[in-house]
Amino acid sequence: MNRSQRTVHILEEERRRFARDLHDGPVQVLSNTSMRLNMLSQLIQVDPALAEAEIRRMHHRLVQATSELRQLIYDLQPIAVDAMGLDEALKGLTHRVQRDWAVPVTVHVSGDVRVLPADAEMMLYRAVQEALTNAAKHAEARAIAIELMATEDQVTCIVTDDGKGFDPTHRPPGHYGLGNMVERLEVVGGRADVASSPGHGTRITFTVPYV
Amino acid sequence: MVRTLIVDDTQETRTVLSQITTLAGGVVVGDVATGMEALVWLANHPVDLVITDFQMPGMPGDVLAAQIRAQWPDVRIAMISVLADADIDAKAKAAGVHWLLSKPVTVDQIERVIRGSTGHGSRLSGAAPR
Repeated sequence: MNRSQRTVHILEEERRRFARDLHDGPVQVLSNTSMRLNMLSQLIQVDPALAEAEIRRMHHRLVQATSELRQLIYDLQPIAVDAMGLDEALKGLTHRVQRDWAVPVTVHVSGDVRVLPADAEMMLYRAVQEALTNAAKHAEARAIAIELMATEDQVTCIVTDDGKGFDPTHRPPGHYGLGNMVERLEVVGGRADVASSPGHGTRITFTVPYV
Repeated sequence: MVRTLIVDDTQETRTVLSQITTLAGGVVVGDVATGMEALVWLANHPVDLVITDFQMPGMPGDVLAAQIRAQWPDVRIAMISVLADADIDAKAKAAGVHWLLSKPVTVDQIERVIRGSTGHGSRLSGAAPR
């Protein structure tokens, strides 16, 4: 695939991920809540205590669905990484992850990282965003660390989490995030190296050359 | 009594569907998370009605339905899907699904499914495949 085809492919995979996230998250919660409401009038007659418990559950789940929708809106919003600077954009991202997923994220920056072309900065930012979402949401990490550094000829960003880890050689059907991260980096001449194993967290190293 | 097996990969949905089925007059005899578990359940328990999700990891609902129809043709199948487009409709028909329902479902809908399942189903404990 040439660069243009790969970009289209990345966009399509991203749409697929959003569709999956909507289906598995807020849509499930809302349809289950609708079913709970539908049976509530009968449930009140036969088991008032259970009906009350259901109302509490519905409230709790609607709050969760709102949080998941908010996260998706953030993910969809365009962001001017070049205007903010990659380091500041990533700090903003980590702030949201900490607030929405209650996972502490540390960021360490070394060197002048504001040297990449705008498209490379954006690809790196979106790849890190994907890595953070995976760590917080799917890997159930309790802590995440980001190390962003500029060396002579490239910018490196290492995202490490202490989540449940996975086998990088086995991608379950319907899970495209990992492949999408790798592709994003390849489009701008970079790479993404994933080190992980079940029960031992994940470490993803993104590298992007200056040219 | 319509003995009902619920198949859905989400625990919360299994719980809600079990409650709705009970309110609608059915008897939930089991709930499982995958198509493979459903086939094992059917091989070991008598069931009249299977209510299954369409979109499940591993074995989708229509593949499960086709296998049930081949092995236990008397068992009635209701498949539920958040998306209900022409493609899913065609897959449901090809698999021999008796009812294709859009999620969210209501107690009234499940009542109709249960009424339509009365007098069908596998009769023997450990229902041997045909």
